[in-house]
Amino acid sequence: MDTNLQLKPNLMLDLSEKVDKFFPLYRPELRGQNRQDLRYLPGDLIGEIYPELVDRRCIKNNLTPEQIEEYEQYLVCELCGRRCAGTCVLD
Amino acid sequence: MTSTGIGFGIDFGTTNSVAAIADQSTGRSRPFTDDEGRPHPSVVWYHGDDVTVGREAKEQINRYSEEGLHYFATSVKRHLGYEKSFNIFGKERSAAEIASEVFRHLKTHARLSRNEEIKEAVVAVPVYFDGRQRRELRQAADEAGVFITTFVHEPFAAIAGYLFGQEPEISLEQLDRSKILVFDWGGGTLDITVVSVKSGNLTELSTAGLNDRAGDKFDESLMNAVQSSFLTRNELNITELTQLKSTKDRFLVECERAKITLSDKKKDNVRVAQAYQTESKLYDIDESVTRAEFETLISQDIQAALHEIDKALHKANLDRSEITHVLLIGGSSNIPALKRALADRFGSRIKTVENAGTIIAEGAAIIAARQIWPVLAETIGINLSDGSNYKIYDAGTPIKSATGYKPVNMFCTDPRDGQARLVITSENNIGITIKDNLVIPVSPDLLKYRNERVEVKFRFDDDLILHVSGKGATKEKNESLELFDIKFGLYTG
Repeated sequence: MDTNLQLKPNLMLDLSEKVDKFFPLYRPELRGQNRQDLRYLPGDLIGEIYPELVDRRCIKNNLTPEQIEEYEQYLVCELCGRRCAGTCVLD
Repeated sequence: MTSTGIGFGIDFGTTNSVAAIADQSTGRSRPFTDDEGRPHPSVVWYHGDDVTVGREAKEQINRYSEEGLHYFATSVKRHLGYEKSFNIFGKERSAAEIASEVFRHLKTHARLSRNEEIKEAVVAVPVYFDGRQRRELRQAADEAGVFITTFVHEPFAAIAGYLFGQEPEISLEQLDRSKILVFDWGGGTLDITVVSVKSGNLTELSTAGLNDRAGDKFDESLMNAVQSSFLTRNELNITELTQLKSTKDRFLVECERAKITLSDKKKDNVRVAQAYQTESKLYDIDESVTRAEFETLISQDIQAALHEIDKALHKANLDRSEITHVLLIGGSSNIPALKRALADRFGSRIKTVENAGTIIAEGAAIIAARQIWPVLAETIGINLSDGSNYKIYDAGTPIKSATGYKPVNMFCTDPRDGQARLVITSENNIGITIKDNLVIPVSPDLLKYRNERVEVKFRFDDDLILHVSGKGATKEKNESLELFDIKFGLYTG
């Protein structure tokens, strides 16, 4: 049955690439964990589990533009105090 | 399919069914028709502990159908795939069980009359038959001791029967890039399919059809017309007459015979002895019918059929001039008025065959003898989290259960809600369509250390159903789904 109901997929091929660092990881305990899959995680999720990767001084090196956008969408706005993704200034 | 190049094919029809044999070494195919040289009616008659199938059953329907000790199952093909059961003398019988009687009849008939044992066969099914229906059909065949090696779409079987049954044989290379319209008007339905031939592959472009306007309805129309003519001529009123129990059966059989005769002759007589009676007299029916009268009776049905052709062409985005062959099959395609109307539209591109009633079974037998397999008509893939599409099976892949298994290792990019979402897609020349979604439970707790691995498995079974299952590494239970509507074609190269 063809369906018009599409869930957003959250699966990625596990190619098991032996890449120690895709991101310049600062925490030595994370090295060797083969986290090449981080590039496919949503930006807000990376912000939750690795706050150091989304530090504004290095975020552009660590995350892809899409991940940065995803991360920023969930930041609490200093102006309105909500997760408004910058839309409060448009009101 | 056997290693000796002999193959059996079965056309399990709504109103008629027939089996056939083909020999690859001689290139010949032969149908196992009944004693009258016609396919076997798909009618199952339960009476007491006995079961009768075929023409004998069909000819008794109206005589006994109102009596409690007789049960007639007709058009059982329409009930396959819906898990429907029928209460026959207090015992529940599934549609597959009833259909198995038809298979058993075909098998027994082949053994007794032609000394051929049908142990396995390629079975032709309509294009719209989905996996559930094919699965029940397999159950029916299994119960009768016939193993279905594979299924083939009826129009493809007809094309195979037409091309390979010719002397000399027509090769598909000669027809490359052509579009064939298969017009199959049988006893129960009209099925129109536009088929594309490309590099040895047969794929369906569009379908259309009518469900209740076919041969059986024409018999009834003719019967009603003959009855009114008889009553008018004898100045009788139907309320004054008593009809014998067997009259309707004999009347319908006679009308069917006259209908077939009128395709060759311009005039025929419908004769039913002792059809009606009053208190003092018995009446025989003996009315003449002309071909023109019969064609007037069904003119609206012919117009409806022509409209369906336009619909099929519209769906396939084709013009009449782009159709290279129009293959006429099924008994009702022999009606001269229909042939004239089609000749006006398609001219010499109309192809008729002598074995129009059995060509599907013969084509299926040829496919069995040549060991031709169905192939995927669309690419099956999955949507990935980065928006790309990953192909699992390419279009043109032969569908065999032994080679169809594919495991894919994946990981969940965002397991915060405890769900991995697999989106299965199909891709054809129109674009990518979502086929279905499978939600696989995963654990959100592992996230800090590693994304949970998910093993997804794809597998085709013999009924051309795609099974997809997935399991998170931390979970014990598999989640699975079945896709019943995978489109398949035929590779004859």
